[in-house]
Amino acid sequence: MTAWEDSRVPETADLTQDVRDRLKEIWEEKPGLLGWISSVDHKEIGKRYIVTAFALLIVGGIEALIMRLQLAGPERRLLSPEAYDQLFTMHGVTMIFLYASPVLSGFSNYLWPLLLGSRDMAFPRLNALSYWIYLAAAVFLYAGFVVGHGPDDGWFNYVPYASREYNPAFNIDIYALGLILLGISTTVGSANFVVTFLRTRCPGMSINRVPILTWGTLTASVGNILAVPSVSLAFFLLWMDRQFGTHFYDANQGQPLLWQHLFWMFGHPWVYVVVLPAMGMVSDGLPTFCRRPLVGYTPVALATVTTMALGFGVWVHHMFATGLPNLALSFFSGASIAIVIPSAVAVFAWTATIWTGRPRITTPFLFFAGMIVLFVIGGVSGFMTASAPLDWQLTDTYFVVAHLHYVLIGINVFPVVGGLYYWFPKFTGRMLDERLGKWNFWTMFVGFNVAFLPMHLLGVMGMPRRVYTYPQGMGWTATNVVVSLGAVLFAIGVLLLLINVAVSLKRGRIAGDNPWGAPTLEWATTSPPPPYNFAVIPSVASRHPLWEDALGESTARSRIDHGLLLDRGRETIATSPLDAEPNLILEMPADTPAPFLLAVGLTGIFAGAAGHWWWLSGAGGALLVLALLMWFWPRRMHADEPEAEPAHV
Amino acid sequence: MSEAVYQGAPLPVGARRRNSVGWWGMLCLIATEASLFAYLLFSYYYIAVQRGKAFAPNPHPSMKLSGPNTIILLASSVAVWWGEEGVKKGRKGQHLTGLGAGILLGVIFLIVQMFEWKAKGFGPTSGSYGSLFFTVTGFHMAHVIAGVAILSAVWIWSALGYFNQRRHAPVSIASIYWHFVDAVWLAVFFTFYVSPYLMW
Amino acid sequence: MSSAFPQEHPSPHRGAVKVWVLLFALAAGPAGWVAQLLLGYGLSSYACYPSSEPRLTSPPPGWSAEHLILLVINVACLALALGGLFVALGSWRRSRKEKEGGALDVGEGRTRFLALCGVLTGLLFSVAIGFDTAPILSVPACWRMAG
Repeated sequence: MTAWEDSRVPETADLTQDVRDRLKEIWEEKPGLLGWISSVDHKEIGKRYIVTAFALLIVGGIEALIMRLQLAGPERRLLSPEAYDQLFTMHGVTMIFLYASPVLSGFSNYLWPLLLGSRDMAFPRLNALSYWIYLAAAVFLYAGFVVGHGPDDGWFNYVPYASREYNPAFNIDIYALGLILLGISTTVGSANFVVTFLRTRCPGMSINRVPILTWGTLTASVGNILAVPSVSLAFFLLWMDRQFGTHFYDANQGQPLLWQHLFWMFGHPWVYVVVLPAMGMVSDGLPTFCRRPLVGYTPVALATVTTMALGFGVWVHHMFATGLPNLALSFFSGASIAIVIPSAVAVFAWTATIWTGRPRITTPFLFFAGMIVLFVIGGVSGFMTASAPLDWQLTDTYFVVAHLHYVLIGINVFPVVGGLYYWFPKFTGRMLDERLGKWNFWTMFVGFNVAFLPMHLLGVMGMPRRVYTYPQGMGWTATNVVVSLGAVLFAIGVLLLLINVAVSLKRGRIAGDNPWGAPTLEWATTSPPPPYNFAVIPSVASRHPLWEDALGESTARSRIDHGLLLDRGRETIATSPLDAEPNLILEMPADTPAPFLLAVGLTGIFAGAAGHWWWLSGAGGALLVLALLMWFWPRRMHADEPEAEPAHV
Repeated sequence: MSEAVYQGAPLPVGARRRNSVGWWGMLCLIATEASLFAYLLFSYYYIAVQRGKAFAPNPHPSMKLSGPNTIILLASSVAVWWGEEGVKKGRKGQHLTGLGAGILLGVIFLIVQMFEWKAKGFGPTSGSYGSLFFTVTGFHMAHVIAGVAILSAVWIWSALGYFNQRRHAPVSIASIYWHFVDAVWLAVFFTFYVSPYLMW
Repeated sequence: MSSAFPQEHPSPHRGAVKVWVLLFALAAGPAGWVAQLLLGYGLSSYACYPSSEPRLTSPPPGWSAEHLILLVINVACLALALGGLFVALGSWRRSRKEKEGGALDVGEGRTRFLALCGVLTGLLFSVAIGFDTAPILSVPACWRMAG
């Protein structure tokens, strides 16, 4: 053990096997179940997030397929109205809350420290906590559904449908408490991303040199920190109304529209939370396959941030049909239309990158390029409904269903699947199969458009959303058959992905460190990366550390093979927020079960509240306090540490 | 290759006040909690405006307890600030006395708040005003309880000698949270006790 | 202070433009936009819903100057956004030679990166305020009676 030090000049070293061995010993996870539960490695947590989110994507997809079976013909009775309500609600809840954002958290958790040239996130234990609460919230939200009492008023959960008067069973209470629980996971995860971005970038990585993905996730995280309290509060007040007879949302004393305000003040920023990091994946992935840097880094990075800023001022466009005054609506119409500008900046930047590059048509490229097409379609239908008079015509019809699926599947699922093809070699050391991958892309792309493009037409023909069936003779039948067939084709595409993953995990081609010839730091380490990521901390001199020689943009060169050593325990470097100048040696925490215990305690509190089993809440609370003490208990100072400041050096 | 990548001054090891990542994490927590209270107060003003005069309690809420209680809470912030100055200067007595006084004043605030709740002639279910009053002040009291708990843990660790002049990030982090809880009270106090005089 | 890196510092011109100047340049546009949105929304709603009873005619009594007030607010907020743009342009001029290469594409130089972000932010939010000013000139305040 080295002596206690107040400060030191960090040693630098060359990247050698000896250094690797020493760091492996320090950073390796303990074996066994306790080791698994206690892991705080961002890569481990990232993989857990991705696997869990994909499992829930499949569950939500199966729910959608059952609904499409019901809607394939008029007057079908496969599902009762009650069952259909639960199914479309759980489909929305699953996809929007349990898949779309967590899967991006998974990618970002895995990739961020690698992209930033660091050894872990700023708060590794918080990272583990975020995952465990997410898992608990997913189980919690499905607990009602499996006993036949799932949430059934849509994911937007409007009062008075969701008031106790009209929905007396515990369906909605589960939803309310489950979402508050999930909100805690999202918030702690977001705080972690923000501090990681500001403080743990490797030396030289000033904010104009970070990959766009980190801009996307940073923006989403700041959005979450400001917006999630709104929905948590909305659900808490609803739960109070339902359980304790308060009067927030009742029409006689409170105001039902308060729900819609609080819900959409959160809801619209959330839309950008689930797309901006995915857009970042495209911005970082496309250049690799176009063999040139992204066109317009600065405007694209800024478009990411300003989209979120504008996104905080558009919530009333979800409320155009609630009878608010004309002029009040038009402010939000104007703001919604303004969002077209940063969105278009991104689209033109991607198109120009492809246009002026030398594209290699790989599977990830196809998914990223396909996303651009779907984004334009979804963006135009969004622009249309941003206009209040047109929205009055189209609201609550299938047109809006088409729009939101173009946006969410187009800008989230396509980039995520593309991202999986792109980074799978980094995660596992093996490539996904390219031939199957192209089949995978075209099946999903054609299936998606066959399923969702005709929905615009159904909406214009007046078919309302959220109906469990429709009568004969409305002229909707043939189109609905096409939609259902498209849904099946899309599902086959997702199945091809799963087959590809299953086969390639065992038999995929060995990838090597940088199979795509990509420019960013995650490709500078091995595939999969060692527990410590980088044996010596890189220092970067440009935005494309691995392309500097090829581009010859400037004379400065990044250093990968020589850098800060930091090997006295789990250490990494902390840097200044703007220019990434080293200013602190960070002591990183060891593996610990405290996050897991804290999540269990928290879940106990919420489960107790759901059933009014207050003893359970009390036990959960006690466990929570114990876990917190275990977490925050300060480390005993070294025996040789002086009590007072020594005379100044 | 032997030239050193890093040629700067020695770097501090581990947690330092503004430099520590914990400090930045606390600022994130404060940002999200401040948003929570912004949404709570939005709910109050929104329903107040929508429901008009009938919503307001009659007569206007009294400041007999809440006024002095506000001063108690502000005094606790001063005490905690003084205690933090103590640890920075290596004066253990001032450090423990300041934090201890802050905790004590926080507890007094909570006790007075319970009397304030009892003195109200309405409950959380007797109308939307009551629902808002008890929910918003309840949320604030929960934050005071959390703040007292955090300060108490830090006080105990301080007494056990974990922190000193050179290593006191947790003291600073707990203090900034406490100041935040007090600042939020000013917004809550203005909303419930002052704004009725201005609105109606 | 001696260099912390073997490479050149990422923002050689950081001394030429103060960080708080850049922060103002970045924040002025969004701040102006948020202010006019919230004030405009609040006032225009309250004009028609002073309590839970909606008014169906316009303008409501005492609110005949509403459009003018909203216009003044928007012009003031536009001035703030343009002020941010102006400051950003100044910062940009002082830092544009920070590093070799074009700022849009190569984009090296952290100071000029932020200055350019300020210019683009100022432009975007000025346009966004413009989008919200157009309806003040053309949209009636409240609902009109059908017929």
